[in-house]
Amino acid sequence: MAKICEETQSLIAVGAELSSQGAEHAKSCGKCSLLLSEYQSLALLVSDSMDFEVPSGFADAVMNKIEMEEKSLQNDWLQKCVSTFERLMAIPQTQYLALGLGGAVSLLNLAKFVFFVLIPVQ
Amino acid sequence: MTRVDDNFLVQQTLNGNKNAFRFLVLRYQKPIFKILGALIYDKQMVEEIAQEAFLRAYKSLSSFDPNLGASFSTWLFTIARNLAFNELDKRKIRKANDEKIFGSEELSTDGPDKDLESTQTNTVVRKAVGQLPKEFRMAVVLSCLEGHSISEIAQIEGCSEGTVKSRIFRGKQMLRGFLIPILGDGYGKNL
Repeated sequence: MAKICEETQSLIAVGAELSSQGAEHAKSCGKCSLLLSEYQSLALLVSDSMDFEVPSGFADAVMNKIEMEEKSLQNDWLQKCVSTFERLMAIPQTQYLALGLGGAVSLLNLAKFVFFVLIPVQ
Repeated sequence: MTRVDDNFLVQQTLNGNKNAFRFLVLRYQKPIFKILGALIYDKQMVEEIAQEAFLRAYKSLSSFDPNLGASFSTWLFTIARNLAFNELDKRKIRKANDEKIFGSEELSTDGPDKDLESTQTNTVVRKAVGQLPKEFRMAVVLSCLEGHSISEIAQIEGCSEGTVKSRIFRGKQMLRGFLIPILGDGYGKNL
């Protein structure tokens, strides 16, 4: 087999693009043109057999999904904060800590009231 | 009418124009369905994965860089392919799926008209494609669809161009081997 035939046929077999010289050769060479038409037919057969029908309104469905996803992402941040707080407050240690902090603040306020309001008045 | 460049539509989408992404969906919905259809037959699943692929693409659009060499279609098809393989792995139905779609039995080679009498050519070809090893199947289908170049297929498949060439060559040889006894030597002329 001539070298050009070998090269052209190996390109045809893998579906690679032929060079202008290769394309010219494929037109004139009987064997190569037969192989080219056979592989083109094969490609067409495979392509046609995989022709799954796209459901009508598919693009709308995709865009709706994107819209919904974006909305849920916006709500996600707030929801995450609330759920993190709820989870933290379910732990007894956190509850004691919160109680202790609350108590400390109350005592501080009471002390401020006694020393800065009641005592100066007397 | 001139075809608007994919990269322009991507840029428009990133600038907040959702309609631009809609154009991309409309442009690539058919090839995506074809590619997914080659891997999985369940129409419901194909639609779900196709939707998910576009959604993922939209969410990570900012990571798509046309300067890296890959086109938008290659990038999108890679997402779709990976999702399809992940989903099939997750559901562990690949084997059952193959049998359900393509039939676990060998293709009949008793006579050129036997399969054609009961089924359409498309079903015969699909069965033949389904009998290819999965790594060959994707490469062959991609090379037959929309004229993907070897380097694009290599990017989608995540392997070297040499491997892709070998997969396409061997896959097509096997496919011819399956189809010639059924459709006849000149199956091309039947088109």
